[in-house]
Amino acid sequence: MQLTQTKDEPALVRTAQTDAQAFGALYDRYVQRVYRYCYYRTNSPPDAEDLTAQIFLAALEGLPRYRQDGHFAGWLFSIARKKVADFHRRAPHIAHVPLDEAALPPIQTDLAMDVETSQRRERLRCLIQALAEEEREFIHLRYVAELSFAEIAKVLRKNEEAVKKTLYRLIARLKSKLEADHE
Amino acid sequence: MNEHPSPEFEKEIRETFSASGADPAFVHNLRATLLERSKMKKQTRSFYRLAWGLAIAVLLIGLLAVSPRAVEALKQLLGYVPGLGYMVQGNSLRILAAPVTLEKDGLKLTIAKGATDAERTILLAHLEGYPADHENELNCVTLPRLVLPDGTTLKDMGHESASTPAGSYYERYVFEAMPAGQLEAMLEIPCIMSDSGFTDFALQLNFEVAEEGQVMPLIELPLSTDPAADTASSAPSALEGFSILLANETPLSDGYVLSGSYAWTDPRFDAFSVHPRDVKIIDANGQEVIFEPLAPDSFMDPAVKKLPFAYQITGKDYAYPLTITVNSIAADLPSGTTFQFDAGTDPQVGQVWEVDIDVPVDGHIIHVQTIKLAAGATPTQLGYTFSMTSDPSVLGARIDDIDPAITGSGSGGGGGGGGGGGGKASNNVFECSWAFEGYSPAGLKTFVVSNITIMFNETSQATWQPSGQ
Repeated sequence: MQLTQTKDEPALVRTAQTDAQAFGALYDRYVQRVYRYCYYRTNSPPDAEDLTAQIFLAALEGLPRYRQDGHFAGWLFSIARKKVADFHRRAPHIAHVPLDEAALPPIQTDLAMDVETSQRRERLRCLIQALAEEEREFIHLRYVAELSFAEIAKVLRKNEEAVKKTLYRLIARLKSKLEADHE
Repeated sequence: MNEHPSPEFEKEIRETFSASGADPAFVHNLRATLLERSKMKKQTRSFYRLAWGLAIAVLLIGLLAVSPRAVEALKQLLGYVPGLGYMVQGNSLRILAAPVTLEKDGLKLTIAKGATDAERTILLAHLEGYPADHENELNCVTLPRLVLPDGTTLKDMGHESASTPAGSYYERYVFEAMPAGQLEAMLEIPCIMSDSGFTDFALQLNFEVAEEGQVMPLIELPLSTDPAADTASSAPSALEGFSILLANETPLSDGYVLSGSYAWTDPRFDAFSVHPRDVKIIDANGQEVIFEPLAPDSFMDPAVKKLPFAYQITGKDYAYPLTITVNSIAADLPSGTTFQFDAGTDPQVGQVWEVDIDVPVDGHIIHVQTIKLAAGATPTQLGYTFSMTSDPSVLGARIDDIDPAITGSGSGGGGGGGGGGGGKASNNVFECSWAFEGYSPAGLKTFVVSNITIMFNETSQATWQPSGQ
């Protein structure tokens, strides 16, 4: 899993501010992560596609104004977070639908996966869905968007150390609940 | 409680989010749309620059026809207005009398500089107080307007934005020229920073006829005889005859503007096809010089293999001479090499053919790996996507259908549509894709490699020092 930017990214971002082809390379690097983040925030592939398109269009328009701070992914996912929030504001009926089992994206299962593992994943998924929205956002940014702590800090406008602590506590809590359920 | 979570448990969390990614057709189409939009933005800017250059060219040719002494007058014609760029001098040149500031909704908007000449009006705005967390609120598309006292609205000719790490924003607005003698106008900005959260800003602007001292002269530079002012490479793969020609300098209070052109003689490349990349300026001590590109003072002539440039150098305290270095050059090489491909009688969207066709273009082999039938932005748009590889010097290639079969959709055979090229990915595969409304993909197709983009990794240099030093 790639959680940090590649070394060439600042140069690529600088080039992309004036060069369409370099923007294409940035798009290639991030499109799946942006789409998956939108998908898990909306539970709808068509909405995730719409949002992904909006996010990259906004990034294309806004890139000349992007201030190089070494966290392009953080900037991009700040746009993504705002677009998703706008989406929920504009479509409150979607936001208010309870995230029941039927609405959740399915977990990809493997035929070889044993029943116990499958049940454990299902339970973990339910625990994550039961988290407060802000807590779930930490999980999405870390494990779906694959952002570093510094990038999450940029997106959420929090201190990097505070982000790390919050995530660690959150994960410890999830693990503890999962194991308690298992026992 | 704050121990690092175990990698195994983190893996479990990731596996919880194991849904497959976006549909490849969607990814591909969005990419093409974004690249096309990006190119259009660039072309629009180039168009304005070109239109401005051509307008001056017409003026210059007219003057030359009137008098041979006009050559000397040409040097007097253009002047540099600090912060705004090259303007046509004379009575038509009016300068913003004083900066104008409006404080509203927590923002402070200042029109710091402005000028209008016979060709256009340029305004430089400085915005303070804009919240950083609104930087991406690009949800208002109503363009700013420059309105004259009689109600006439001058057309917006484009605007550019820049920002500083300290959170200041600059906007450069370009409008049509204000009529001769007109000294007042109202700038109306329906939404600041394209953000619907900050609306209806209006500033009254007053201009005055430019005085001597407000416009900086252009000083013609002698033709360089410096042997360094030439390409440093003589490799056969080099861009033939590439050189940096310096033409004018304009001293400013806090720096210089240096203008000139990149020239080449290579018969393979036309006037608009060469793009220097990675330009650097260093002083005699090796210290990097800060500069920014400006709209140049001369025009692009389709018949001449030259690309004009202008750079504003920040500061004067350097060890001279300065050396301008171009480290690489991208150039678009036209081609007409064709190849054939049979899609069969009933090709399906998403179908991929592994064709492995080698197309020779000017010593390079463009290897077409796959061809894929893809839908365009609408269900009735169809087209092909070509995945290619080549040698490392080839950055991209454009492939077109030499005679696209378009079936009319009730309008008697109308075509249309568009597409986009692709960048080089890390695995050195590059793509080109396009789609047309009503395109018929079936049967034997003849495709043409219309052009390829080549990177020349060669170093060219020119040296300069201010006149009188």
